[in-house]
Amino acid sequence: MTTDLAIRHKDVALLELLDRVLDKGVVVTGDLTISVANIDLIYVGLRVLLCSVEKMHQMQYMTNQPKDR
Amino acid sequence: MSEQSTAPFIPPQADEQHDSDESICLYAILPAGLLALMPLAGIDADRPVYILESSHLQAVVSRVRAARFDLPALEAGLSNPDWLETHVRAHQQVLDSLVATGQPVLPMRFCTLYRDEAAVQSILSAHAEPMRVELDRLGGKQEWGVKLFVHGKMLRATILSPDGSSGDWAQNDEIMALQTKIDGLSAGAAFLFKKKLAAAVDERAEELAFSIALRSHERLSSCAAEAVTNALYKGKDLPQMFLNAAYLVVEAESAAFFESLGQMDQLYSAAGVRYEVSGPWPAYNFIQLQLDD
Repeated sequence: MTTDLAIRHKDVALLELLDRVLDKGVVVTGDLTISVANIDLIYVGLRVLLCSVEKMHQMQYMTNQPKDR
Repeated sequence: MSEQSTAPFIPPQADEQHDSDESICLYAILPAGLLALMPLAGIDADRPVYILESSHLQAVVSRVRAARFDLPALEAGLSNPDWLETHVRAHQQVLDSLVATGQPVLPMRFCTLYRDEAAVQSILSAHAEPMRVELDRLGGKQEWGVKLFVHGKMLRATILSPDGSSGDWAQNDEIMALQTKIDGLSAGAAFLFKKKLAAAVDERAEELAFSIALRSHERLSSCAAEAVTNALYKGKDLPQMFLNAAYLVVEAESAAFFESLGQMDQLYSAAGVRYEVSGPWPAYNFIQLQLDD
């Protein structure tokens, strides 16, 4: 996973989808066998992918909403 | 606890039994009620999506073969871009079909698996009230994503030589003064002033892009019940992104939302500003669910 990202236009749509379904979908614990959120290593890897995109371009006066719910 | 049911179009196979080699993938939770689902495969392409009903809620699920979605398989899959894209799109296809019904939807995270249907039923009953309340709150609303891009070259060109219709707001006094000054000089004498002008134009372009993005967000927010901004992406073959936002819009008010968007698009497009809209999404960016575990 490189931090040197060249995101092409079609990938913006995929990133947008990943942001929603990987980071913002609801997780209800219970008799949960597997949740993506529990797979720390891989999830952290993907978060690194998304985060390095974020850090590359951050607007000063636009605040990010907290992602943890 | 009510009986489990399968989607109307897919009759259960006679020999289909609960298989301990299979888990249940949960896609979304909706209010109880009649839900006509198109036949759809879930993230395991050989297993159809169906509905589990409880007294106030229904869960949209599919079976998945555990071997394909157990921990090692997921670890491998999540780091494989092709696997990830294929399966995430399959997941989202299910969500899209639910959004199309017009019912409020609580979207689950990708690949949320449970041991069996009883496990899903138990969370439906354990959390019935907060889920019902949240679904009620989200009813009649849709999430739309809006991104704003700026083509720098076009914006700088607009600043330098504004035409009457769109460019008057783009210039500033410093730039106008520099242009006038340069007009009256020879190439050699003008050299340093041209550098000054380029820098002034770059600065003005940045200032304008931020300002247009902020104004766009404020205007769209006023047409929405809720709004949130997210991090920007930087792209190689992309014009620069200045806004990445999500809006929760009351369906009955979406005409006004898109009207505002259309007006701003008309106002700014000649200056290189592009709006990109995605949706309708389930309200991923606006879920407020307090669950006591």
